[in-house]
Amino acid sequence: MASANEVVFASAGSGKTSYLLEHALSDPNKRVLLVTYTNENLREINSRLWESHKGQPTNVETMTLFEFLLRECVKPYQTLKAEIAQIRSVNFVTDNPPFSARSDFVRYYLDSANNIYSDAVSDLACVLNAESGGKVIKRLEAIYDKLLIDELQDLAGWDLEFLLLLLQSSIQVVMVGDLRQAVYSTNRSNKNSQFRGAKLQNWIDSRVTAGECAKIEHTHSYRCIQSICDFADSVYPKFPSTTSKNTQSTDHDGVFLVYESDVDAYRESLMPQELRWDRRNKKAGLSAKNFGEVKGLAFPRVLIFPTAPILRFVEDGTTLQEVSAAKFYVAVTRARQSVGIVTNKKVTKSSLTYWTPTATTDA
Amino acid sequence: MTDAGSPQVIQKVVLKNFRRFRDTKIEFSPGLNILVGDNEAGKSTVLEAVNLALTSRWQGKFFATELAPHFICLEATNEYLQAVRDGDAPEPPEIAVELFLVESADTVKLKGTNNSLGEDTCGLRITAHFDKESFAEEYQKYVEDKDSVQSVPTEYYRVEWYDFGAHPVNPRAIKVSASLIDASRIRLQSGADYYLQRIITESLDPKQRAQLSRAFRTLQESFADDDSIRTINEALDASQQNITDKRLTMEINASQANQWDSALAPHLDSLPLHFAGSGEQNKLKILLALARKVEDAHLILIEEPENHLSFSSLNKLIEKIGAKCEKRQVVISTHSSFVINKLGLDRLMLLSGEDVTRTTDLPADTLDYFKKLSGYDTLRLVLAKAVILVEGPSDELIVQRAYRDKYGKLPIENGIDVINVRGLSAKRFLDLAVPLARRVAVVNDNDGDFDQKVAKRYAGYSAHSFITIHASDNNDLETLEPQIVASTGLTTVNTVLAKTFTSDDEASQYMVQNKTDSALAFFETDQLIIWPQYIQDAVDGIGE
Repeated sequence: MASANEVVFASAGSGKTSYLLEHALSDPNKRVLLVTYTNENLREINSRLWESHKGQPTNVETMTLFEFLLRECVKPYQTLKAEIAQIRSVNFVTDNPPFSARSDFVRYYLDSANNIYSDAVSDLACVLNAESGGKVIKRLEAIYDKLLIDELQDLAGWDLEFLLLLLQSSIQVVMVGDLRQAVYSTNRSNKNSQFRGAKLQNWIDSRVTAGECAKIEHTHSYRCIQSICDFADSVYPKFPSTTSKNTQSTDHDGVFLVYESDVDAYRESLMPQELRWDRRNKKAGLSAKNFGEVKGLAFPRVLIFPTAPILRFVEDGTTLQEVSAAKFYVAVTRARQSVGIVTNKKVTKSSLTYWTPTATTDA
Repeated sequence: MTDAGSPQVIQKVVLKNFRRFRDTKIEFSPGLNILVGDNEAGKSTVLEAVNLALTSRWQGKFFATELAPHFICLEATNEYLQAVRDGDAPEPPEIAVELFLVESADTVKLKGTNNSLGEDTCGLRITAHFDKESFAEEYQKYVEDKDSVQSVPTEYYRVEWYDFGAHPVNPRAIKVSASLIDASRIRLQSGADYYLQRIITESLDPKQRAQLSRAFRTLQESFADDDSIRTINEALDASQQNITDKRLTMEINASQANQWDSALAPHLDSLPLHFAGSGEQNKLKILLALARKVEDAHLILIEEPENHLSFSSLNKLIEKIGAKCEKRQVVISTHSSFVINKLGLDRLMLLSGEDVTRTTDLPADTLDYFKKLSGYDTLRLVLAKAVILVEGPSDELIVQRAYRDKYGKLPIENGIDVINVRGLSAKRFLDLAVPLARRVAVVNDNDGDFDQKVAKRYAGYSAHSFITIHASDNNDLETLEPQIVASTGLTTVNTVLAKTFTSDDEASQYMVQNKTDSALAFFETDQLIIWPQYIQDAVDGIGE
């Protein structure tokens, strides 16, 4: 049987959210649930949804992944393991106690306030579905016709087990993601650890081979100009290259190195969005955002304050570790027209050119 | 009447420690349900409980604020108090009301196993239980002096309202609604009758509701633009400067508390509805509730529709209910035999103690019989502990006397009803007694043909141990009177009647001709009477 499920690998700026919204709004008689990972992304999706529909569509619901797993999967059938309405919320702060056994339900899954450990939510959803003879999935099948999952790359561990159950259900599942942007993962447990991060590709490939979903690739970017696409692609040389559909040009387009002492001048003349790894970077300005926060956002220009490994990559192409690569990829692909990378080195092996205060003025 | 095709919204309600119910499950049929029971059997509680689970309101007010010790059933309260006095540390009893709904697109999001039966179904659950997290310390103080603990400390309780999926209920998102119409509690304050406003609101579609509230707001705004109001406001503003620096004006109160639904009042023939008679108000509420669009998952709960209505109004109303409820699930509680005879005796749910008995599968001709003779007091049979069916007023008197001779009380004082039914109607009553498993003793004349008039007539009921038939097989003594003469003897008969008959025949003949007077004399006499054996058997058997 040909599956209606699809997995869409989409480059940054390829209009991933628009694609999901189109799916959500294509048939008002289909009950749709749109699941995403971060709260910020959920807000973004909600406001875009409102915009494109001119109001809240009655057939579409949106939730974060944890909200979905907790509300619609775990809570309704918690009585197989817990008391009626015992489980309260999700504990994102602490890990479940070491050396606890899965058979010791309360200790393994719940903290003292009856919040479920974040790593254990999808695990429990799988357990409850198995022990109830499939009631969790049956309930979802009765509620939804279509399930749209954004930020597929952030799913890991037991999330994938539960996703497999969904792929095998009567609900149409459409998953969208970019494996190069795996900056979070919802699930740190050891389950499916071989599929962490970009290796999720292998898991997806085996689903495609099993006929459980069709694979679609969106290798274009409406956002970044070609030179930014090319530079971002160089972070992940094994992925298909990206074609830019941004034909706009300004007097400062491309990827540049910015010497530390020129940062103030760069700020003043180009007003870039500054991006940093996290708040420990004190050189970035007050309005700087963390790499991890800007997924889904776009800016005309960005100025990146790199970490040491990122700088090494820029210098001589030293391969980045998984999380560094993902975060840097996200940071670079936020920009439409220009990316500045701050460095304290005056000479470089990199092919990138230095921006100089006069350069722009002269141009 | 078949249930297929009849609409069903609710399946059952489970009550735990709630009001007079310790642990009760009450199932509802599709279409019409008629709830009967003695006073205090909890009929209103059942209707209010269904509404409570759907709205979290009790009699129109939020349950959380209404909660008081008397909501907890007496048995649970006493057990708790006893345990406290015994020095145990009992957990204060939890109240739970669970409403099981029929699964549909409207209710499927309420699905899960978070209910006391562990069933995977759609539903709502409201509980009140001791709030351990907030009041542990206060509670310790409260039970410290254990002899002073006289009631369950419901002030330390928390009310929680969840669906069976364990999500807190968003009242506006519940697509199932109920109109509870309670004739005995018509609220008369202006424009604030919660139920009535709700029913009216619900009979409008969202667009009409929006139009109404917009029109009302426009009206409010135009008030301030009125010339005279503007003059008044200018005057006010000029005179207030000693009091405050801000502008003082008169405006219509546009706060939440003053929305159209509290400011507008329905009128009947230009008379505000709350000035109309209670019966009229009641009727209107019922009819409005019944008039809602059929597609809605809507349940109608009616308490004692017979209240405040004249017989002819009631008759019309019942006809309308009967016609409309083919498209609705309706639960009616009633004390009126007329209502149940008219609406269908096969729809009865008899509430007694923790049990519910229902009268399904009644023979069609029996249903029809009671529908036509709607004056018959069927509720007497339904509500009595046991019943003796007799054939006429004189038999009734004799049976009552025979009962008092044995038990020292009249039967009614022990909850036993002696009902006078003519001829074949006894069988109709027995048809109704079968599903109720009601203890019935039938006292019958043999009319000179025991085999035909008794044995064959009642043969169909012999399988039910709770139904006993009592008649003499001596065909020479056809009716009660010759039976009495034969059993107690001519001398006693003469004493009782103050007569001097010389033969049994003569006495019997006189008694047959003066049936009621003779029976009354036997009922009132202080003579010791030996009653015919079949009557004695009936009386002996019914008291067991």
